[in-house]
Amino acid sequence: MHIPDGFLSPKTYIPAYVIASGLWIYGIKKMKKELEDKTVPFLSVMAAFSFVISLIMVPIPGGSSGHAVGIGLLSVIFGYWTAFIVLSVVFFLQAVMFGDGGITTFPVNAVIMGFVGGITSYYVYRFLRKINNTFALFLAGYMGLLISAFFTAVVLGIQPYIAHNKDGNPLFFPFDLSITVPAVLVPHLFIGIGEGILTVVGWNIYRRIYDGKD
Amino acid sequence: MWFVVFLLIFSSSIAHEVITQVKKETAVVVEARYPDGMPFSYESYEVYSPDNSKIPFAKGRTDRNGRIIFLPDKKGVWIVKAFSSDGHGFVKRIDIKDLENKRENSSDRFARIVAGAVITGGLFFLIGILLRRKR
Repeated sequence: MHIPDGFLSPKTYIPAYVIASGLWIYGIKKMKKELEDKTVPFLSVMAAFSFVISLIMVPIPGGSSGHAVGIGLLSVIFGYWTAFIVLSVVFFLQAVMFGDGGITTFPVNAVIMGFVGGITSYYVYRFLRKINNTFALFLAGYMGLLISAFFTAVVLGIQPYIAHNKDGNPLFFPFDLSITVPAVLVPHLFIGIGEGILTVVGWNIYRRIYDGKD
Repeated sequence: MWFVVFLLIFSSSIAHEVITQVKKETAVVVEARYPDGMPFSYESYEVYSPDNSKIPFAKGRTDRNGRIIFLPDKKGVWIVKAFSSDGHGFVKRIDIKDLENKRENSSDRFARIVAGAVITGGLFFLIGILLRRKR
């Protein structure tokens, strides 16, 4: 789901840098307030874990491949602002070290997966946890990833409309929304299951560690 | 007689035949794979020459093994773009003066994953400690 360099027009990534910069500044302030002393070691482990799992590609039916991100788990444990900052750092390092995601597209990846995905997971969990905690955790992970995938598809799919030459040929990503939305969403219907399970398992490990200490 | 002469003169211009030539040449091969080894097969690509970044020199689909093959006709930096409809792909700049077989080693990738995980984990551990001190 990481969008590489060369896929998005400056009309997309320049405003994204402006929006993301504002969110990063506010996010660091919120993280400072929200982060508890006892959760710092778990946060560092989760950040490292998120870095690793989002580089492990899993084959998907239909010939593509995808990966989990850890959006849901980070968001339900630490809140969506901390999740956003952690994932932003993870995506930046992945872009620099692996070329997985780009430098120009970095703010788009960070805002879509880190912020939009994180906020979705957080509120899905908050609204559903009274009904059933495990179901709420699963759906938090699942929906966080799926909504991120949807917005990734939209950002890719609008490129032919907003960046093309005089003849109408796309200058950047060539496929429009009618192709990108199903092409990105359908594989993530499967990947989301993995993300949901990861959120449930991760949460239970977290509770076991910290409930034991408390 | 005049009719025969007319046909001989214009035969080359009115013919629709395409002359083919089969020969061996050295081409540039860009092989694209997902990190799990699965080839980036049958996906769209465009190749741009150093002197024209607007009209593609070649375009098509990667082969079954995820390869893009083209024959540069001049030196300089060539740009190869490949896209799948689900947002995977790459934009690669290839300087054909400096062409060599570069392939990422799987052990290099593993080492970088470990290094990245250590950097990320360590960084957030430090951030956590710094935030705690500031309080």
